[in-house]
Amino acid sequence: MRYIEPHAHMVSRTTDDYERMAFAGCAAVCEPAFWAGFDRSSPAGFHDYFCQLTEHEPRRAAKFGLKHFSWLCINSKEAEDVQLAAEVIALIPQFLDRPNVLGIGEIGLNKNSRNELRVLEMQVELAAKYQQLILVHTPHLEDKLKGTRLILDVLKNDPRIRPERVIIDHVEEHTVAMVLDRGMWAGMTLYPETKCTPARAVDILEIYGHERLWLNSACDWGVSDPLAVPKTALEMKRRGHVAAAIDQVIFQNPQKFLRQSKNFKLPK
Amino acid sequence: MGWGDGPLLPLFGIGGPFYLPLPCNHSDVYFVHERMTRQQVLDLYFLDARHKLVELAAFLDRAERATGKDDFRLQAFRAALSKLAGKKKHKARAVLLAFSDPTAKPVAKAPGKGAVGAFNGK
Repeated sequence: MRYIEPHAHMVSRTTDDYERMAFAGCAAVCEPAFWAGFDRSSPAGFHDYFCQLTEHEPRRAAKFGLKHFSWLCINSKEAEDVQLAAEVIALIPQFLDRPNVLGIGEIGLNKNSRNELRVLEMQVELAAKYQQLILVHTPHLEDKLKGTRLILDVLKNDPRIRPERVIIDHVEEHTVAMVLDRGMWAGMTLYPETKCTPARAVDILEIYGHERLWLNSACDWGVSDPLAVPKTALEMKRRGHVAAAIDQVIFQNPQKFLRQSKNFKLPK
Repeated sequence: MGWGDGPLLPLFGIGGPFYLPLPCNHSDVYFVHERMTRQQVLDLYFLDARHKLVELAAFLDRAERATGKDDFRLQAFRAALSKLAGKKKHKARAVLLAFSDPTAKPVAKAPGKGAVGAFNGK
């Protein structure tokens, strides 16, 4: 089995996790910028983080034969301070030419506030200006439905944004259809308690088909499982999905989306 | 996109399953394929679902034994439970919607960073 982990926060994981993912058949891991679990106090903290994502993590992954890619942004949990966000966003262009950068992400909303929305618009503008792919974080739990709708409206309102170059992540049963209907990609995040379980993710695949959907673990510093994608592949197998269909979901689909970035290249 | 750009419809027969490409519009493939029979689904998932249902019942017993009143979370929980009865489809979606903020306008200021799992009506 081969797979791509399209969303993992490896700066929060141990080296053992890289090894386990490599053993499980992971060919590449993609790391969106996110909240560290605490608020950074200055743009300099983000500058160092972007260096970590584009310099240090690729080296750590390479020790296990894994390609590492990254997405850059200020996340929505730190977007209430618009001034700080503007200063962080101004740092990003200098990193966009680095060889492992895929685009702008994970941008989005957290509590669906006006300032979060303003910062989302600023980062959509950044992506449009530099013709970058976009990876979107949708809010948690009770905020997801409203946040997903607000995010889709922001994206729809910018004619420069091509839907096939946007992945809306963390979809569940109540948001997946509105994302696919807009022509965008949808990511299902596999978490032990929130978001999707492997069984529910496979339900969604069986209902909506295998097009423009991917699976990710979004493993981070919280309760999460870096092997959630291969475990969901096993769930597909238990239900009788054939190897070709599993390969499409866990390898070919993320590859198809990510190849829209010139930087996404896997060893032959 | 047209016929053949969409997902694969599994066709079972002699020689094992093979796949028929379907149109890409997912609404066209809604419930088109069902890989397992109901018997197979029950064999695979019944015990797990039964376990989770007993856990839900025990949670309600625990909350109702405790002093105090329901808050918005337990009220939403009871509303969500009501979505499980009957034969309406899309029960998971209905449960998620029962917990969701139905409003449309952004809030003036983020009240914090976390989510609690149910809309508090404010």
